[in-house]
Formats: sequence, C-alpha cells, structure tokens
Amino acid sequence: MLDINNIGVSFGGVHALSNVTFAMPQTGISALIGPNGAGKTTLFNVITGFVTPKEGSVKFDGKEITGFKSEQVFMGGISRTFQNLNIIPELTLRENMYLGFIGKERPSAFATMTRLNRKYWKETSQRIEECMNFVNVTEYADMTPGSVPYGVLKNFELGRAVMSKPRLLLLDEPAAGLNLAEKENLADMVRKIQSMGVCILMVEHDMQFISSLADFVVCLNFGQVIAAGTYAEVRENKEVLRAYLGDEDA
Amino acid sequence: MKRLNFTFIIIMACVLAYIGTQVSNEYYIGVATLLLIHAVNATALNILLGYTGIISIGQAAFFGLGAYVAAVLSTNYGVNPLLTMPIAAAAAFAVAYLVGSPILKLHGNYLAMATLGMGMILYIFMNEMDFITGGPSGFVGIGDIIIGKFDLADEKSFFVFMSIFFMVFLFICELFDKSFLHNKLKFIKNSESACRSYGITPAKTKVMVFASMAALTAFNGAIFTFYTHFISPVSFSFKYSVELLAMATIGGLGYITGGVVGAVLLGLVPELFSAFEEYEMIIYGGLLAVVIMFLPGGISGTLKRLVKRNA
Repeated sequence: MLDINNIGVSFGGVHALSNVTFAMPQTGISALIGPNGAGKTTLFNVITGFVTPKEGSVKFDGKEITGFKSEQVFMGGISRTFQNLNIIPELTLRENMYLGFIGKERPSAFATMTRLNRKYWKETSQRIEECMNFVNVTEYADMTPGSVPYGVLKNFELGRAVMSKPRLLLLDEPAAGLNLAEKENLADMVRKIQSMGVCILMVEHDMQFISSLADFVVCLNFGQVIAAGTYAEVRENKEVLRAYLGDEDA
Repeated sequence: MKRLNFTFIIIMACVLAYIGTQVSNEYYIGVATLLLIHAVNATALNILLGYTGIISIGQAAFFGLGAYVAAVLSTNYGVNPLLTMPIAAAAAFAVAYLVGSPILKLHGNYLAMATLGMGMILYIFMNEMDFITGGPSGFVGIGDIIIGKFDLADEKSFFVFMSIFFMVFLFICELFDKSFLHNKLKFIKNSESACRSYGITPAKTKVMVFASMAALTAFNGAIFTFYTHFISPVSFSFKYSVELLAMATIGGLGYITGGVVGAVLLGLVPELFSAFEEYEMIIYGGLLAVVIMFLPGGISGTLKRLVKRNA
C-alpha cells in the first residue's frame, strides 16, 4: 500500500528523518510509534506533502507521490487527521463536515448559489447524516464545537476524514486526551473504518490502544527506523525497549 | 442546502421603499445613497476579512480605481457610463489578481502592511498622474447615468438605481452565505493546512476572493463617480480604508448583515456629530474599542447570539 524508501529530512542542522524505509501492508491497521521527537509527525507530513524530503521516495499503490502537494496527495486517496482538532468554532458540526468532501467533489459554486444542483445537495445531505450516524455524533450535529465533548469531536474528525472515501487514512495521535471509555469507542470506530476496506496508519503513544488495533508496527527513534513487525515483535525488540526505557547502565 | 434568510432582505427592501416613496428631503435621500455605497464596500471587506481572514487596508484604493476608470472612460472617451462599470470592475480584478498573487502568501500583520502599501501606491498614482486623474484638484465634469429615457441626475432617481443595485447585491450575498462557499472560506480562514489536506487550494481561492471583492468595490466606485460627479484622491485615502474596516468590525465580521449595519451606523456618525467633525476618528476608535471589548462578533454577532439564546 505505502512504500517508504530511504526518506531523509533535515531542518537546518537537525536530521529529523534519515534513511527511513519500510513497506506498509496492503490491508489492515499499521502504527507508527516512538518517543517524542522521533520524527513520526514529520514522516506523516512527508507522506501528505507538507514536507518535501531531501532524499528518498514515497510510493502509494506503486505510484510515486514524493514531492506531491498536499491537495494532490488527498486527491490520490490519502486522508489525514491532525494532532490538534481542525474544527471551526463558529460553524456547527454538520457544517464542519463540508470540509470532508468539497475539496474532492468540487461542486459548482454557480449551480449551488443559484440552487440548480438541489439533487446533488440532497444526496450529499443524506451522506453527511449517514457519516454523522456512523461516528455517533448525530445528536450533536447542530451544535458548535465549543459545546461538544472532546471525545465526540475526535469521533467527528474521524468521520469527516472518511467522508472523502480515502483508501489510506492517516491518524495523528487519535487517542490523545481521551478517557478509557472514549478510547474503546474510538478503537471500535477505527475497526469499523478498516472493515470498509480503508487502510489505516496511525501515530500513537498509547501502547494498549495500539496493541488492540495494529497488525503492523514501525518504531522510530531519532529519525530512524529501529524496529518493524507485529506488535509482539516490536515490543520485545531491545532497541525499542532502550528507546523508551533507556539503557540499563544509565 | 440552507434556507435563505429573507427577514433581513425584506426589512431592507421595506426601508428603501419607504425612503424612496415617503422621504422628499433631497439631503436625506443623498445620505441614504451614500450609506448604501458604504454598505456595499463594507460588505465586500467583510467577505474578505470576516469570512476568508484576508485583512485588507487598501480597499479604498480599489474603490478609487473603479471611480477613476469610470470617470476617465465616460468623460474623456465618451463611453456609456453603464458600460464603464464592468470595465472598472475588470480593471480592478486584473490589478488585484496581479498584486494578490504574491502578497496573499503573507498573513496577519504582514498582509495588513502589504495591502496598506498597495493602497498607498494607488493613492500616490491618483495624486501624481494629474494628466489623467486631475491630481489633488480632482476630476470634474463627470456626466450622469442615462438609462433609456431616464437621466439619473436628481437624488431620488439615483437613489432608486442604487437601491436596486444594493438589493440585487444583498440577495447574491445571501445566496453566497447559504452556500458551501461560506464554509469553504471559513475553513481557509481557520486552517490553511487542514484545507490543503482536504483537497482545497487556499492560495488560489484567496486570490480569487481578493480579486472578486476588488472588482465589486471598483464597480461600486464607478457608481459613486456618477453620483458625485466629482472625484478627488481624498475620497480614496487610507482614512476611508480604516473606516471600512471599522464598519465591518463594528457591524459584525463573518455576517452578511454586519457590513450593512456597520456602514449605516458609522456612515451616520459624520451626519449626527457634524459639530464635532475634527473628533470623528475618536468616535470611530471609541466605538471600535467598545465593540471589540464588549460585543465579540460585532452587533450582528451579538444580536444573533441573543436571538439564539432566547429561542
């Protein structure tokens, strides 16, 4: 699904990523782990076109996407969420859902303003309701984000990302700030999305959350891949233990 | 698809119909015409700042550009005044597109300074190119708009013309506000990176919005030319750009009603406080400070919140 080959990124004298290489399975849920500052979000930014690597390549379904603009990456079938919620405070959740599809479907402004494409908007409204229902946020649809619980907003963001029907969904710390019940709810949601045939790659710190979901785990430390495999394999890896717990001598 | 808010449109239509039929004092009708002109400019700026997050302190320059293009074409080249309006809009669109492409990569204070600079440059052109614009002495001898048998020379007929233009403009704004474009612009205002990751190209959209609002302001400037029959650079200075900014902010950024409410309120300040003319900017500043501190969302935003709370 996603082939990362020899990616290198530097910010001035800091090597954020060097020689990062791994291949993500065609299906299932994969996770990118590592201590703070390991380069996980930078790698997400490389995949989604926010950062251009100084070396290496990214292939999605065998097609080179290195150096693509974010818009092109999205149009190619890769959607992402951010660590910080990007939900507009003055719009309701239903209105915020528009971001999920207008960039891809590009409805005609003239036809919309003159109300000539009523059929399209009727169908789209139906799809929005289905999507809201899918991520269990229907009861909050007419509320603005300020009056909605954080866990619901996290679900909402997931639903909005799915609205564009991506083939690969990148989730940046989806479980951050959630309580146990919300995490379980989110995990169910992620499984449901995966069962729709969407491949998922997530950055996450919560190992319990990852262990319950991920089929394939890649661990980064100081911008380099130190382990890749199943969760059990990675968990036992000495390099990974050292990265998280430090040297025994220390 | 959201329902259109006809309440505001009907209220405005009734007010304009009342002024058009019941008010006979030419001075009051003239003030109403100028308020409508300010309202269009303030609403255009509101779409830029309140919806898209583009701060422009150079809108007066586009207003002036439109006014001068219309004045020169109609007076020196005999072009029909009605035809000069779309030409003025097209000229402003082209200038704004060329200027906007590089400067809209800036944000916040830097963008404000860049638009201020652009406004200053156009203002200097208006002053210095006296062989075309008449320089600081102004451009005189501008004719009337003639539609068929109707010569819009008197206050009332011009007010009717301006009212029709304003109502069409307001209806289009309402259609825009209730379409996905409203949401799209607010997404851009909120987070450009999120927009890019959802397939929206903010740079392209921002340049188009900037150029379109410049064109609209220039079209309005052309109308202003044929209303006043005399234009000089003073009407298009930095001061007017700041007044427009104050109108949009006090009225309510991000609301179609905001530009109109702000323009009516601040447009009446010089009329109501004519005895304190030299303190005009203090009144503007005071109102701005009060609104920013106590009425976030401006008058329209506060009213909307109150209505929602009591619903």
